[in-house]
Amino acid sequence: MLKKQDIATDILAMSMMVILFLNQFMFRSNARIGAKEGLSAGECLGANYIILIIITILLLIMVIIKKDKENLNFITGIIASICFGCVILFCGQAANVVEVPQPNGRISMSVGSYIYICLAYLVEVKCNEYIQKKWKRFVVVALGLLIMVAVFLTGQLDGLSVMKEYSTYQDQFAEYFRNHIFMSFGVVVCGVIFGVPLGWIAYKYVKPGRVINTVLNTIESIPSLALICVMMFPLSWLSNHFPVLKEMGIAGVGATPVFCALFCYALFQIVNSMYGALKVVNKQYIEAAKGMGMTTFQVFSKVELPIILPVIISGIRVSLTATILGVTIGSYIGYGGLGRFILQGLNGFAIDIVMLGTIPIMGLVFLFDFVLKKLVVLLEIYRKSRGVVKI
Amino acid sequence: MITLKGVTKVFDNQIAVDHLSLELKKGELCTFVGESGCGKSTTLRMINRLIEPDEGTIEIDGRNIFDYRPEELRRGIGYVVQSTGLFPHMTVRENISVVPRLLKWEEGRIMERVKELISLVGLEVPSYINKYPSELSGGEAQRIGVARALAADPEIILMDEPFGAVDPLNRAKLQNEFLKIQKQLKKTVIFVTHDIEEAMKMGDKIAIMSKGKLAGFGMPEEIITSENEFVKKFMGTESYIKILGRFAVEDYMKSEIQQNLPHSIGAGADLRNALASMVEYGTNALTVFKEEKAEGTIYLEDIVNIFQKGQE
Repeated sequence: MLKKQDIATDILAMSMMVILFLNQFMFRSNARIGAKEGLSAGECLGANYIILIIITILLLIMVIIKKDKENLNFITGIIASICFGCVILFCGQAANVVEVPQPNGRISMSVGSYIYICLAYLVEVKCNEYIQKKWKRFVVVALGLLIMVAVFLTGQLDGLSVMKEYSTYQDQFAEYFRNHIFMSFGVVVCGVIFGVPLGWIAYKYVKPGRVINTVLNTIESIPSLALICVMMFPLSWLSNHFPVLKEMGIAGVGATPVFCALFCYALFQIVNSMYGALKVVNKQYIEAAKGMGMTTFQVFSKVELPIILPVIISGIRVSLTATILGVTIGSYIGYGGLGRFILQGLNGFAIDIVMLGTIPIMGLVFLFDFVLKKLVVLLEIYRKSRGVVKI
Repeated sequence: MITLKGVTKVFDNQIAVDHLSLELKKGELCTFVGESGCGKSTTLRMINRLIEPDEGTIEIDGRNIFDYRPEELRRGIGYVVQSTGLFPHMTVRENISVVPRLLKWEEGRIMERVKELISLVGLEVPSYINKYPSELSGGEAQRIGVARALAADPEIILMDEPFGAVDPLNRAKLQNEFLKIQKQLKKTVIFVTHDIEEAMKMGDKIAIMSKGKLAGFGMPEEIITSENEFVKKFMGTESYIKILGRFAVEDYMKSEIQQNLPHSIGAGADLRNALASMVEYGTNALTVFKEEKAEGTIYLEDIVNIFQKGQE
């Protein structure tokens, strides 16, 4: 009996309940920058507070009685998803409930509501562990996200401080966002172009392989901020001594050092996953391929690459995620990515500006993580369907 | 067809193959047999240049194999390995089409060939053509492995313990089927095995190897009477019983038919089966049936006298 209780989820749901009674669910401040006054959920949500409590209690009850039954888990997941969506909606509507004394005053989500959102998401994930059917798992996660997107698009969140900041910085946001994406993809695409052959060389030839691995491992062990800063010196020297490079836009600050540093990390990830994957490809396939008369290149392109492709894509996924996060740090030396908002926010102790940078970065990471994971699955399906012939 | 002259290979100061000379004729199935580490696989893999010999020459049809590009050479030689080596990401059809594709056959011809080969190795085309190696049993996978080696219709086939990983029942089946195919196609085959029984059953010729050297080479009937100590030891005392597996009952039966014999055997069985039946039923003669019809009688006397050593 006790064994079937999903204790982790019980605790998650109870924590969600507790958060509704604590302070710092949201906060209010009189000016953009300045003292913050924490609010409990009861104070800021108004009539919605009762609704949120009711669905959270409902969730708690379901979590306790669901055990490992698929359908009950499905219902629980959906309720968690509704909690997820509703809390965002209600926080948005809180702007109408809470009175802000001055025109410049702000109302903003605080630790409590963020944790509540995270917990709701975790409950969804835990419930999905007991659900076999793919579409049910999808519905559970998608419902909450759908509510969130709908709430966002219908302007329910406009009262929140983050959105106010967004409308202030709209143009900059678009620019930083674009920069962030271009830089991330530029780095990873170059990483793939150089990393795949390099990984192959590292695998194929022992001595150069050892050099490649040592160099990349050493670089990987340097903290990213330090590496970006170290890159500044040789690059500024180059740019000062070779005007050609200067004209090409290569400089000691800004995009160039960020690109170079992140490129090294991406290269490490991709070379490593390539090297590791090639190493574990069963030798019998290579032996058979050679014995059938494939050239070295054909062995690679027809046998090794298709076998290791899922691993390579996983490597690319990891490096893309790491690069998206890494570009953030680039803002320290003047690169205009989303990290700018984080820096700006930290300097002025304006948490909303920090969130304006953080939320899209998180969104990007989740999105591309998901897309590349799906890509592996789709490739597999494509490959299987391509091999099938009708008789 | 295949000539090895003084072929030597040394791995890290250890001699794997030691001045081996050997000649195989076209259409012969030669089994290489010996203990593990005797150099039989190494010899096989030197023929398709997966391993380069340190000394000596290997000729195919009178042409030195070093005159070919290795890839070109290998495309003309079928290669079957114990682990099947079927590519996990390719269907049965794609696996079989690998060499024809490398040789740039047109798609229609490849498709025809794939179907032909799947049925040749005794599998149904529609249910197997789209399967992946992971969906095949060991025996089926090895059949496809053989089909893949035959794909481009090579003159020579190298088989490295092809049936080693298959259970005994299926192995016997595979052996019989391969012999049938071989009778039909008359390829020059080198078949490496560590199982002397398999070697005697399959081989037109047997090459027994020991420590990189050829201890005995010839037809099984010759090998069995060899005076070489190693060969004698390796063949074991039962070798005269094992070799009976090579001879078909119908070749040694008398055409007379005795009406009162209670036990019988099929004409397709080998003398070893016949002997076993005689031991089982305590009789010294069996009626031989072919397609439900009595054809003749096989006598214990004829079996024990096939080598006629006692009469000399």
